[in-house]
Amino acid sequence: MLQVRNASVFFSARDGRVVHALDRASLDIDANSIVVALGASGCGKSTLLNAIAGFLPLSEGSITLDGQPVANPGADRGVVFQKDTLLPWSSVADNVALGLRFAGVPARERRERAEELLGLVGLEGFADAFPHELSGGMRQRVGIARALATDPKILLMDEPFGALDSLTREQMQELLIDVWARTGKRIFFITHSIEEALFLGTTVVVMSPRPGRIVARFDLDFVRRFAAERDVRAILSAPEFADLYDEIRSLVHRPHAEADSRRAVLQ
Amino acid sequence: MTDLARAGSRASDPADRPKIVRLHPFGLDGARTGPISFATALLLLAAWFLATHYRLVPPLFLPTPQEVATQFLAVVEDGYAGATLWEHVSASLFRIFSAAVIAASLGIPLGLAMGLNRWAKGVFDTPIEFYWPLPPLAYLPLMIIWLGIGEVSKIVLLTLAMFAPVCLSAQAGVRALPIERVNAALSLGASRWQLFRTIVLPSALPEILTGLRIGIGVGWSTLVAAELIAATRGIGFMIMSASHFLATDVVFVGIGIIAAFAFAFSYGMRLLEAWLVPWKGKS
Amino acid sequence: MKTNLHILLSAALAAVAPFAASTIAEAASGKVVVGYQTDALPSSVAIANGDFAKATGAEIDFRKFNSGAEIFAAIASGDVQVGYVGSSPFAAAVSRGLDVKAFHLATISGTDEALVVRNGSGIEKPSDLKGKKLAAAPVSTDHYQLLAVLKQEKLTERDAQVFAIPQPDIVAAWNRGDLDGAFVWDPALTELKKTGKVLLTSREVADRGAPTFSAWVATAAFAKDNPAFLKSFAGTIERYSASFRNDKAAWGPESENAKTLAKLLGGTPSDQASALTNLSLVPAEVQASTAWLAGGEGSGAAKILKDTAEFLKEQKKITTVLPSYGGFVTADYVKDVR
Repeated sequence: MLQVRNASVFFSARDGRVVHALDRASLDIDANSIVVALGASGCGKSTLLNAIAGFLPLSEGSITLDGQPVANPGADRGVVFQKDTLLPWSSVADNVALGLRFAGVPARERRERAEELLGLVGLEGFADAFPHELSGGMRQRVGIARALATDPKILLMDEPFGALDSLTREQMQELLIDVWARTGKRIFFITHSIEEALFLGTTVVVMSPRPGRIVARFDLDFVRRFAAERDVRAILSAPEFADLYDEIRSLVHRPHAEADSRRAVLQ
Repeated sequence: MTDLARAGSRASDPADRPKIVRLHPFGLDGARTGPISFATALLLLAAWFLATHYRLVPPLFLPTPQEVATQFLAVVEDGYAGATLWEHVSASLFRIFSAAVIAASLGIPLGLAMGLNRWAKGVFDTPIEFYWPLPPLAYLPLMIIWLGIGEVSKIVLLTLAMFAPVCLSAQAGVRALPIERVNAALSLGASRWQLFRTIVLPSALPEILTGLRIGIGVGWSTLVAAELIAATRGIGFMIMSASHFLATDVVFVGIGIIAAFAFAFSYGMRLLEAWLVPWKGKS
Repeated sequence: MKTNLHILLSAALAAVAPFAASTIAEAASGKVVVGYQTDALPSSVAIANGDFAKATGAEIDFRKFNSGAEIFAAIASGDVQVGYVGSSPFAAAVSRGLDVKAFHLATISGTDEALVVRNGSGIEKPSDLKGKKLAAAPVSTDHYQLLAVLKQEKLTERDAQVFAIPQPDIVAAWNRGDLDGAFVWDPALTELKKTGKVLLTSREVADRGAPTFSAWVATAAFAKDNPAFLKSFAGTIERYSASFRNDKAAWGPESENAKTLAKLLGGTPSDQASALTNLSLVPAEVQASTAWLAGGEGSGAAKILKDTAEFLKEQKKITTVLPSYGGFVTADYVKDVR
């Protein structure tokens, strides 16, 4: 269980002003859930992810994973970045197995596990290719496989599909749902696309800027429906989907206008 | 006939091929310059030949190509100043190589350390920034006084000249490392040492190789200065000794030999770069 | 943007203009550039006190060089018109096509140049030179005589290491103990004698078959256009040489002359005074005879030039020996000097 309690982050801007990047955010991320943080730039979602990942300390508050406080980056929290961070000099398999190599796993086992994960993300046969030979979408798949290799307790995804074209993005969303359904991982996902948030999230947390804070929380079902029925059109055309979309859109465009958190549970 | 069929027949008829176009280019944009360069080289050779043939310049200033060729063969056969051409070349190569090895062994680790560690950078920045703009000729007399006229002073001079490009490029290699790559490795469980060995070092390798290539180039251009320190062997020595006797044809031979080696080295380093860091420049 | 470029260009031009102007002015002014070396000569006093300029009536720019080879390189480029050089670089340069004329014979092989060996080098006689580290300034008469000595002892450049390096570097290397012997002239000679002893003087090597001389040369073009200058120049040298011959007291360690030399060339006045005593000067009448400058090809100086050239060719230092060296010496400018 990942628990964020009253997390606040204050930065010093270049001109000396204090930037209140995150204001008393509290959040629980259970097993088998995809929590999506959604909001415009400066709302604190990336700050929150960096703090959970251990790249950033908190000014106030706490973040604990299974009771242990989070201080530094580690293999228990896998990260998938928006920017391509694959090692260009290593093959795809070696990239996927990087975390295993750090953990001292022997070569044959590393290779087996890498091939298994590549199968999971739909890249069988590409084990010996090199990153520059792959498209953007394929490289992100490798990134996901790599992050999963160390069997992290939580997968943190920082706008991972933001740099892809919309067709590829849709494929990747469906892939992520597949992977989630099969592995049951805890996922924390950041996006600024309302549609993506609604589609992927078991919980959507809407955030707004200045100061960055959580302004609304929605527990949703669409992702489980898709995992079961695999019918995208049905979900996107469902009236609840459109309603929630409008509701969230007005929240995002009018920050702090609706200060109460709402729980809307739908069938 | 359908459009498709018409297009097909048009393409197969050579006289009626479509006009190939491209976006208006700016600057070079990949245009081929090889043949132009080659033609220019031939033109310069021809100009040299004609200038000396019609005695446009005194022979002392510009020897004829034939004289240079003759002297080259003479040096190949009989050597120069009591040593064969091979002895001169190997003396110079030994000095440059030794200096390159020392400069690399010191410069790469120090440059990496300076890129990673505040104290390393702060402490070593001062002497390095002070000495590296100095031309080696300026501190050559010090080398003689401190280290004598043997091989040590020459190799130290060359090492000093070559150290700075290598060290500075290693620092640049660390600076160019994207922070996301470091964070990705950390969230995969990398220790500091693993981070250095598997991420920092390979990431900095392209810059380091560029620095080595520049460093060796600097080495060749400093060679003549280094061999001013009482040498009896070496290509630089050969050039200076011939110039004392106003033997400009032998000077040309020496210059030509250095140019050939420097070019070969630069080309070899590029091949090495392409082999070791094939990913450089590819997105 | 345009104004910035204008300012930059104007500034660049303004910075360069004075240099350009002075170079052009220099070329047009009729100034004579004379290259001299570090040997102690009586006439060097005239460099310091302006007597040369007074006697010739011309504006003279005196430049100090470390060797004859450097003076000839400067002559080849056109920057120097008159220079003091040794017979060895002289032979090398004219064999290469440089057209200069020796118009005054300054010194002949004497004791002002010598092969000095370091105390503790184990060299007692010339044959001990085998396997040793020796040095001399490149192309100089000393270099020539050193190679001649080696040849006389049947040694090649492989049997003994010969470093051809400038005199200041020789002194530095000697003091570090990197050299066993060196053939040098002053001020290096006096310096090396402090920790070594003379094995052979230049005169002794000359007697063994390798004579040398030093002369004042002028480019053939300059000589043709300025005969009066050369005559006055030669005349001034002779005045000072005569003074040195006849008035020993005026050239002693306490004298004004010695002090002037020390100021111009370095070292102490007593060093300069003792260096002067090693000179072998040739009086003008003797110079004007066929023993030295007169007689074209048959003159003594031309013969030495030819022998030197042949030796250098044999040592593979130069490639051609000219059929005659007579055109490079002339007695025209000393024959009327008394």
